[in-house]
Order: sequence, then C-alpha cells, then structure tokens
Amino acid sequence: MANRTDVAKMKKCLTGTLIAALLFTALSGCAAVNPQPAQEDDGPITLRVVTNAQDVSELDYSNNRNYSMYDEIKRLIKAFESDHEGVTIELEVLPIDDEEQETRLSQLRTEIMAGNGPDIYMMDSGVTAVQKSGSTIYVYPFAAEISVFPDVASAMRKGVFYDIGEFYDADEELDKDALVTGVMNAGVVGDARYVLPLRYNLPVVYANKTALEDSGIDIQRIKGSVTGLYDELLTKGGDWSRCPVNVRYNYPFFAFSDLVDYDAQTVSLTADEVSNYLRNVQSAMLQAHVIISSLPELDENTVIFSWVLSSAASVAKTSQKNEVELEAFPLRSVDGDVVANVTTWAAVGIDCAHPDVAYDFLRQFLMEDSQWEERWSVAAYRNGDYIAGCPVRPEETDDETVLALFTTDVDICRFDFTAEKDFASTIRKLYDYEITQDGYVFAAGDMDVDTAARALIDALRWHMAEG
Amino acid sequence: MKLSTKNARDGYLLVAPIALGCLLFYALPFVLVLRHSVMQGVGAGQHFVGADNYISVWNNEMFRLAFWNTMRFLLVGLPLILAVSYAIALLLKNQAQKHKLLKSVLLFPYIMPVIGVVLVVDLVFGEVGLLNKVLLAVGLPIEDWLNSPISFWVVMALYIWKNAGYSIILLLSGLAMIPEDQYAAAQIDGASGFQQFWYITVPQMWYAVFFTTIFSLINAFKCFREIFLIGGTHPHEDIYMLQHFINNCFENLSYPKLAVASVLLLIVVAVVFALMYFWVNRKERFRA
Repeated sequence: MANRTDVAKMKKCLTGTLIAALLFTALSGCAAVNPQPAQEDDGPITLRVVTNAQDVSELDYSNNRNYSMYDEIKRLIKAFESDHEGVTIELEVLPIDDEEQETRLSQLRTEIMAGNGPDIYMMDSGVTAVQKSGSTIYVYPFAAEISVFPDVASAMRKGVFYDIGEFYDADEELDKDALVTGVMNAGVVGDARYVLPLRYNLPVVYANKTALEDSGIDIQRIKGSVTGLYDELLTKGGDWSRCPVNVRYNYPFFAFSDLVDYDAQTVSLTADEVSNYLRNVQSAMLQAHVIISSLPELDENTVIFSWVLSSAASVAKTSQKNEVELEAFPLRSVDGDVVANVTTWAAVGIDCAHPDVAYDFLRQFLMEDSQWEERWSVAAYRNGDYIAGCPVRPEETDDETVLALFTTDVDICRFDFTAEKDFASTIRKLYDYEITQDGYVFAAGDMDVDTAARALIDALRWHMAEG
Repeated sequence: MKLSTKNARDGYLLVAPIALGCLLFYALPFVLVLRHSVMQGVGAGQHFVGADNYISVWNNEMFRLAFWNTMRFLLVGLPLILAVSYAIALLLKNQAQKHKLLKSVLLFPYIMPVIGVVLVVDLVFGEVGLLNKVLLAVGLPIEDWLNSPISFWVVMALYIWKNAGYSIILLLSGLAMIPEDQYAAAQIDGASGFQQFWYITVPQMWYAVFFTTIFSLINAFKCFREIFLIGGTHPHEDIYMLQHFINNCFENLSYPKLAVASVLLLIVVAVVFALMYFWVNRKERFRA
C-alpha cells in the first residue's frame, strides 16, 4: 500500500511543477511592444511571403478580366534576390478553392497566434473572392466568406504587423512627394506605420462633357457629394434612359466619410445618415427605368454614369472611339470627401526576424518604374479593362482626364471589411428587377430603407464588438 | 525500495500517459489561454495589460448578449432535460430491464448526423418550411422561425430531443442500482408512489443526477454545432452564444477577447460544478 507521506510528497512535487510551468509561461510573455529586430549577421536570410495574388500566366489573357499582382511579385522577388545575396524569398499563394482556402486560413491564424506568422503579407483587402472558372480567374469584391484579415485596420491595432515607420521615414530614395498622401495614410495608426497600400480604388462619375453642360444640371453640385448628384439628377435629370445611375455598390461605404472609431470601439455612423442616403439610392433606382448592367459607354444616348477609378482607362478609350469628350471626377461622400479604399496592401509581420530586409523588398512596389510602365502596357493589351489606382502618381498617360483621376488627392482611405459585404447585400434588398429586352427594369424591394439602415448599423456594431 | 514506495511509483507510472496527455492537451493550452487573456498583441509584439482585457470584454455588448444567451440556455435547458429524462427513465425503469434493445433505440437521436438533423429543422421551421405551409393553409400568420425569438425554443427542443436519450440511459443506470426490496418494503408499509419516489429514489439518485447534469452540460455546449448550421456566424440575437463570439473573435484575430471569454465561461462552469459537487456530496454523506 502506498505510504501517505510518499503520496503527499508526490502531490507537492506535481503541484510545484504545475505552478512553475504556469509562472514560466506567464512571465515569458512579458515582451516589449516593439520587439528588437535580429542582430545583423552574415547568415542566409529567408523571408516567407504570403499572398492571395493568383498566377494567371497559364490563363487566356483575353478572358481574364482582372489584373493579378502575381507577375509583378515574382519579377520583384527575382530582382531582389539577385541584388541581395544570401536572401531567399519564399512565396506562398493562398489556395483558390473555398474549402482549401478556409483550412489554410485557419492554419495561418493559428500560426499568427503562436508567433509563427509570415514575414510579409501581400493581400487583397477585405473580402475579395478569387474564383476560377475554366481558364478564367474572376475577382469578386465582397464575395469571400472569410479572409486572413477581415479588417486590416483592426489588425493594425492588434499588433499583427511590424511598425515600419522608422524604415519608411529614413528612406531617402523613396520619393514620398510622388505618393498620394491620403492613400498612404491608410496604413498609419498614430505615429506608427504598419501597412503599405499598393493599390486603391474610388468611385468616379464619368460624363459626356458637352451633353452635361447642355443639360442644365448644376455640375458643381454633382461634383460636391453623392447626395448632390442624386438630388440634381432626380430633379433635373429628365430622361433617365440617358442617365443610368449605376452607382457601383461594390464599395458602398464610399458614401460615408466616418464609419467606426477603432480606438473607442464604437460605430460613428448613425442610422439616420444611412437612411437618408438609402432613400436617395432607392429613389434613383426606381426612377431609372432602364439600367445597363455591363460597363456603359458614353455616347449621345448615355450621358452620365458612375463607376470606379479602375475602369478609367477603359472608359477613356471607348469615349475616344465614340468621339465623346470625357468629363470625369471622383464621386464624393455625403460629407463631400473623396473616399478611397485600399484594394491591395503589403505589410511586415510582427514575428519577422529581419524587418529591415522585408521593408527593402516591399519598398520596390512603391518605386515608380514598377508601378506604371508594365501596368499600362498590360491594360492596353486587355483593352484597358482594369487598372487600379496606385499610391505612386503617374507622370503621364494618354488621356489627361485619366491622369487627373489617378493623381487626385484622397481625403480618406480605408480598407474593406466584412460589414461592407453585409451592406452591399442589404442595399440589394431595397430594389427588385426584371430583365427585359431593353435591359434591367427596377421595382421596390422587400426591405424598407429604415430596416436596411438599422441592419447596417447592427452589422457595424457586431463587427466592432468581435473585431 | 519499500513496497509502499514501489506501489506509489508503479501507480504514477501507470497514470503517467493519461496525465501527460491531460497536461499537453488540456492544462498547457489552458495556461496559454490564461496568458493570452492578460496580454495584448500577437507573437513577438505581445505585452502585459493586466485586467484591461477583462474590463473591456465585460463592457462589450456582444459578449454580454452571448454570455446571457448561454446562461439562459443552460438555466432553462438543464432543468428541462433533467426533468424530461428523469420522468421517462422512471416510466421505462421496468421495461428497460426486459427490453435491452430499448436503450439502443433511445440513443438514436444522439448518434444522428448533425447535418441531417439541421436539414430536417430547416425543412420544418424554415421560412418556406412545413410549419409555415401548414399555417398558411389554415390562414394563420407565418414567421421566419429560425430568425426570430422563437429560434431559442426551436434550438431548445432540438437539444432536448437529441440528448434526452443519453440522459435517460445514465439515469436508468442509477435507478437500476436501487434495490427493489426497498420499494417492496415501502409498499408494504403503505407508502404512495410519490412517497417512494421522494424518500427512496431521490436520495439514492444524487450521483446519477450529478453525472447526468455534467454530461447534459457538455452536450449543451455541443449544441453550438446545430445552432451554427442553422444561423451561421451571426444568427438571430436570441441564439447568439458564447461559442459564436469566441469563433468570430478567432476569425478576427481578437485573441485576447476570445481568451477572456473562454476564461470567464470556465469560471462560471467551474463554480456551478463545484456547487453541485458539494451539494451532492452533502446529500450522499449517508453512504459513508
């Protein structure tokens, strides 16, 4: 029979071990907020880059309607490795299949939590879904159910990324005056810089300049805010068949300057603000008897429509073809701000052992020669279908209006997040449509405006509470 | 070596594998969760913040909603399932001894695939489900049951239906341990059915009730799978549980929040468990 003293001794021993393990684990977590980078040594350096940019090299370009950064990433990896001996960059592309992606994202989150996160992230923002159909890859904003970072702005505040501010500020080779400041500020929290925006988008109004001037519409008013645009068109627009107000609800949060306060973890937007905006939207949808679903072309029949910056080159090309003088300007928010959203970004992971080297790699993406030359040529090859904005201002382009758009100052630049997806689908419930020979014909939907507004505010509240 | 020491050593060696497993897969993760709950940041950027996370989470309206819903589910569900299972166990007491297959049949709902069960729930209670079709046919108002406050009761009914069989089996085992001659003697003495139940059955069933409650509690948390399949990551607010909050925080990389939620839940469950354990021990003191 076991001796009571022996049993008591063993119990004490086990209890002591457990308490020691507890204390050790707790105390070992007391690390500094800004971890010191690894000391420089002559050993080989490997950087792990995770991206969701897909390899489209094997695909039929004429069918591929979206531009992937994959080629640019590979090109710059090759250039960087050849300039930096001893540095290897391993690129991981997230899987495209929904189930595989969900598994890999769960693994990634666990790795990040355990302190084994990637060295570099290069991602599309928010909930962009990348899907493959045959030989074509499609990119759908707000179609993804999950993302590595459902809210990049929130991730910045959680300490997931390394503060590269010191490297950025000390980088004298980078021409910061050539960068769109409003876009670059999206990656800043307080005094720290966590993210480098690489691509962005914003809503743009495209118009037949001559027809617009002849219409009697107050052009300054429609340039002032989205509310002004709707009010002016609803009261003076006349024949809506010439004015398909197809505001791109891919990024519905463009309409609002202020959404949430990340520091106070509260929702800044009010239900009344949303209701007022949605009332305008619904009126416009119901009064616009015919909406053309695909990208319209400006001609004598189509005078004005709104789309996004990334379609500017394409619209300019077709306007030229139709001999229409193009007028284009940002579609401002309800408060009159130019609101953009970051569509692709890059950051250094908090666990990166060589953040200085990682920054050296990422800064290449902000050097002008990597930003515009190849992209203009690719866009031209694909009839200028899609070319997103970039923080580096282009110096020249074929069309002055397009150049002005790509160099526009931005007041507010944000990252997409999941609640925007909810908003997009909520707006969709405000109207119903049927497809006729002439196009889409709209009628009121099942949801009323106030319910939709409350649903959005609730979605934002959920987002802030869980984010 | 003394025999007692050798026995002690052999004993600890025998339990070592399970103890190591518990340490690696339960104790250590729990310690890490505790650590996350008092830290901010991730990986190399983590820093100690004391009770700030606890204060922040406690003031979080969604956490409070989830916490209240979870407690409501337990406070309503556990007594209900115990009462239903106890009643059925008493009714089946004699039959279960004669018909061994009955116990297997009772477990059918428990082993049914979750997906199949949820499909049936959707077919019945969905917006275009059977219930609404019937109500429409008789001219009564319809409702999106799974997106309304009624969803709580749908989930509750599902939980009881699925897990009552398991609880009945456990209680039947307890009932089988009570000697029949006690009932016979009581009957001879003129005790009514209720008196036999109250003075013979209840005092000797505390341990069985205790274990049934523990397993029902575990099964109540497992019910999250069905709720998740019915309502997704953000179901109706009446069935938004702590597991939803924790899951969503994980996807949003809010590790401190999920750690705090886990710790608070553990504290509540541990307190309930401890209270029940002491209560049952007091009741069972007569056996010592």
